[in-house]
Amino acid sequence: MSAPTLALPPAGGTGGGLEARPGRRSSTKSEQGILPLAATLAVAAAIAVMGGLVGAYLALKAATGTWPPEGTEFDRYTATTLVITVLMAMVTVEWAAYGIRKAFRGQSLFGFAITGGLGIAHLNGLAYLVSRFAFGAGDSPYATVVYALCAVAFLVGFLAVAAVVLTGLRAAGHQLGTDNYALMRATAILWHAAAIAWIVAYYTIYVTK
Amino acid sequence: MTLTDTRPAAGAFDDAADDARASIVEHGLTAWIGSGDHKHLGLMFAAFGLASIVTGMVCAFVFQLPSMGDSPLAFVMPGSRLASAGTVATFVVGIPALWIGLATYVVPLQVGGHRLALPRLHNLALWLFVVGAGLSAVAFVIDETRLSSLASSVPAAATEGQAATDAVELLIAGLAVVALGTLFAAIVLLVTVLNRRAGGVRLRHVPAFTWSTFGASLTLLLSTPVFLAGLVLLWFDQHYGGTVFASGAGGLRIWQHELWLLGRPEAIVFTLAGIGLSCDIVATALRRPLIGGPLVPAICAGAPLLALVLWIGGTPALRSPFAPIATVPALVLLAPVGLALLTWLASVRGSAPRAVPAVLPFLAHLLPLAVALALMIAGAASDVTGATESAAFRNGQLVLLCLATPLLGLAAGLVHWSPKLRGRVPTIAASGGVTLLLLAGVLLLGFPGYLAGFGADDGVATIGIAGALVTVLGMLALLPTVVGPAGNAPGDPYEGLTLEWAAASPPVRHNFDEIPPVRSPYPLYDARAAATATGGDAR
Amino acid sequence: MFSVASRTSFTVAFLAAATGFLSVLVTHDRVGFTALMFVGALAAVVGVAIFLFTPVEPVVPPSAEVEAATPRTIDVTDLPRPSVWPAVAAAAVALLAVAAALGRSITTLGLAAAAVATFGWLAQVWREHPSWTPDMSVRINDRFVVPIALPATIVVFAGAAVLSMSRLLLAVSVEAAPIIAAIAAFGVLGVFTLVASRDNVGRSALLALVVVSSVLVVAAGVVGVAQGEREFHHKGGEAGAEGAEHGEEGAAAGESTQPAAGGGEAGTRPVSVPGVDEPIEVVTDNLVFDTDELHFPADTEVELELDNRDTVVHNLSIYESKGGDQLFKGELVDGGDEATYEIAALAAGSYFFQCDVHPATMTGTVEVAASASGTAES
Repeated sequence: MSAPTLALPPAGGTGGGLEARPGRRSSTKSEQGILPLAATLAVAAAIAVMGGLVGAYLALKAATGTWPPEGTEFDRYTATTLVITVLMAMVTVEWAAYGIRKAFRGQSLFGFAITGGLGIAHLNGLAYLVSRFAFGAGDSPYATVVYALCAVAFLVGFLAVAAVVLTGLRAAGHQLGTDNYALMRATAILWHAAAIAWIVAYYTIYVTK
Repeated sequence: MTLTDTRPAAGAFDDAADDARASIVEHGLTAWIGSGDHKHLGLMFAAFGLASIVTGMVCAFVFQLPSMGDSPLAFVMPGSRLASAGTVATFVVGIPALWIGLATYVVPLQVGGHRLALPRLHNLALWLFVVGAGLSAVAFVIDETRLSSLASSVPAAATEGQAATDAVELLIAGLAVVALGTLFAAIVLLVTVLNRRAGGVRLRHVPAFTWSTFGASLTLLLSTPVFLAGLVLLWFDQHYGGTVFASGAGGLRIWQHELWLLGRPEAIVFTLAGIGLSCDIVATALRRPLIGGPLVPAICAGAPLLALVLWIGGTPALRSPFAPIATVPALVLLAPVGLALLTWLASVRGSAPRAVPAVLPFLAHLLPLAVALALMIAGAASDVTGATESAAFRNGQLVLLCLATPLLGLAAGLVHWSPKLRGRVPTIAASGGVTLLLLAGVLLLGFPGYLAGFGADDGVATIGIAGALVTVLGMLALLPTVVGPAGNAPGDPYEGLTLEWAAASPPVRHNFDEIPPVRSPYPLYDARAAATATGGDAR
Repeated sequence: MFSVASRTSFTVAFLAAATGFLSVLVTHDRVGFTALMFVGALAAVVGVAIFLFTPVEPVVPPSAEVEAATPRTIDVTDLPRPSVWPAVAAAAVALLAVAAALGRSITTLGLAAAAVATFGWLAQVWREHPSWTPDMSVRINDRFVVPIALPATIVVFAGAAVLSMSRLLLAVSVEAAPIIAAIAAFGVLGVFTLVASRDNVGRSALLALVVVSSVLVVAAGVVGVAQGEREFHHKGGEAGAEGAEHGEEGAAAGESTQPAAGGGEAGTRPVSVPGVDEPIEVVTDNLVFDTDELHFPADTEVELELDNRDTVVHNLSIYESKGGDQLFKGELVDGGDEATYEIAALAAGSYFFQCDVHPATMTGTVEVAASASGTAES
């Protein structure tokens, strides 16, 4: 049995702000695709959860005479503002990804900060929106499924904001670069999932009704 | 061709490699708890799955005791909850965990990899299974759960429109945590198959079991979130005293599609995924590749995906896909099974079969499928009104199709890959003993349902008690394949065809030092054939 | 690349969509249709992801030669290291699941555990990055841990001390409180004088001093919380109630503030009438009122203060009977807010009250008696 050969990562980087420190050798495209692929599959799962709830919404709507119940009021202003917020954050997270890809550290950190801020604003706004519902979660089947949709959208948003914050910390610590861009791409995908989750909930509750 | 078919002696590596390895060698309980090695994770998943199934069988055993008041576990949990606890332990926790464990161990070997794609996420999935199962168990013990069994198509308890007890909400939370673990494990296995193959191993050249893992993982990825959605809705409904599931056809339809065990693809995905596992065993036994070319991976990957047809169906009729009426879903599910059978039979021609230990459980796992089909037809032809629509008959179908078939299939897998798992080659006699115990046990467990459906009295429940006991013995007999000290078996005791047999038994930390060229799903067979053709020795 | 896997996903997408359409046409089952359509869409997403993120597989023509085994270069740094953080994260998820089932108090514990798991995992991944050096540990300590952790620790300690002392001082009598406060203040001064006057105070002695004093202060606070606050009474009132703070501790101190049943005795000192002289307090939390029975004086305007300690909006409305005519509709009160209702006089009798937002779980009765008493009884 011959002894296995051992490949150690080379020292040194390729220069530039984010790559000044010695990094791991460039991984293969296969390895670089792991995190983005896993993030996309997780996004698919999150949207499937929303799909299950939307299916429930539609089934209950078909079986119920008055839908939504009489007297239900809609705060479209806040809800639409949240849609605009998450759409803006989709742009800023891609800006942060662009900064990482092009080794523009300042831009990437700025993008992270704005995305984190918008994400927290979205979560805060969503919590406020739910607290202003003039119905309780158990008042009617409509109320239950609306609360469930908003809760899942909130949870996905929370996880996405956490991912943005943690990735931003790593970027600030010079641990993201052009050779390990996969983490940034995965984070951006997770944020897009949060945005899609809220848009699906918004469309179901406020547009189709 | 030099292969990693024997374990290297101590000190066989140079100092640099040794130092590097020393930093990632795992010792002790902490290393096992936090392990990222797919072999450790696979063994822990499989052991936990076995333990869960044994727990489920014990619950089933006690539940079917004639006088519940005398049962030793009555002070812990009355009989009505035992059935639900057993269902959850077996179908929601045990069988998925056992399948994930086997896949976690074998798939990286079959694709020539040395690790999983996301090992820490997989470790998280394992512990989510454990804590989720624990929460569910606590829920069943602490209080009466008004939430009826997930095998019931009608949410009787959930229609009361009252606020839930703590136990109900704890059960919902426990199931959600288990579902989350299932989802993470499916993601890791998918990404491992797609992105962690060794260089030169193309996707079309991975073996059948890897293809069926791909299909099953994709099905779990697409279907488990819908179950999670149902649990979220159920939690809100129970916590706030809602009336979603009392709202008539709409609520009932949601329950049947999103929560009812037989209405979710997870119920039979592992039954169908066993086709891929069986293909590998058959090829090894026949000592030749299966005939069919691209049809084999298509069947192996596509069969689990067909489980999604369980979402088709209407209310108020309880349109179980196992109803004797030739429904489209029922026929579709049988298609891949039939195709696989034809492929196996066609491959016998020109082969030189040998009796490998896994052949016995493999053949046994086809028997419950055949029995269920035959009884389905007999039920349809029978003049006993409503026999096949009775709950007892449906439970019998559930046992044979969703428990017996995948359980025996997984047992075949554990026996087949036992040299890789713990370095032990089972004898034919041992394999036969395990097979006999499991087969007898599951058949005895399922028959009372059929007999009751055909009008037998309640006394037939005693047959189920014996069945549960015998199944427990069979599961315990399987434990040495996943726990205990590792042996030192030959790397390739069966002259295997697929890539995992190129590793030592059990494999070294990094699995392979060298990988043969992979030009088909059967690289070792190709290498031997090429060596024979040129008159050389492959090793 | 457009591999077998991506083609499988796209095939699944097509079949799921087709099956969904067929299903809804035949069975009119919307749930199944929606699920299958979402599955189709998701399978398409998965197919695109596989197409984008999986490697291109080169086509290698088969060779007639016996090919040697390919020696693999092993990067042992790529083998995963053990990590306990996934297990800790799973425990945090379990705590949060229990919190969802059982109660809000465990939520804080679950969130704390999740934060510990998250940052512990991040720290391990950070240290495993090839760019990590021991110097960086010192720099992060100097730039992040000390500037933030040290002040945070001080704030926590100071806050705990203030909170504990306040509970203790609120529990004891009005005469004892300043004495205890003076003892504590002079005690702190004396100890620090002693420590400052010595040339060498051992590290272990200082640590023991900190630990013992922390334990004493926190224990005192716990005792104060267990004992409960002493009674406070407002001065003034129609009946000339004393309003002075009582020196007694415990429930017995409240007796003299309760109006005598029957509306007061001639010649005795005047009593205050809750609802008239001071608002009746009703608290909402966890989707219930803290009382299911209110008592109003008949033919008298009543003031009622709704303290909403919940996180969702509530109100209080009064009806003739359950499902009957509405007599009073309270405005909606946001979670965390309070509102004072002025309820018009009601004739003697029995009425029904509820929260209009949560009528299933938040209901009760209003007993309007001809006597002058007005209270909330749980």
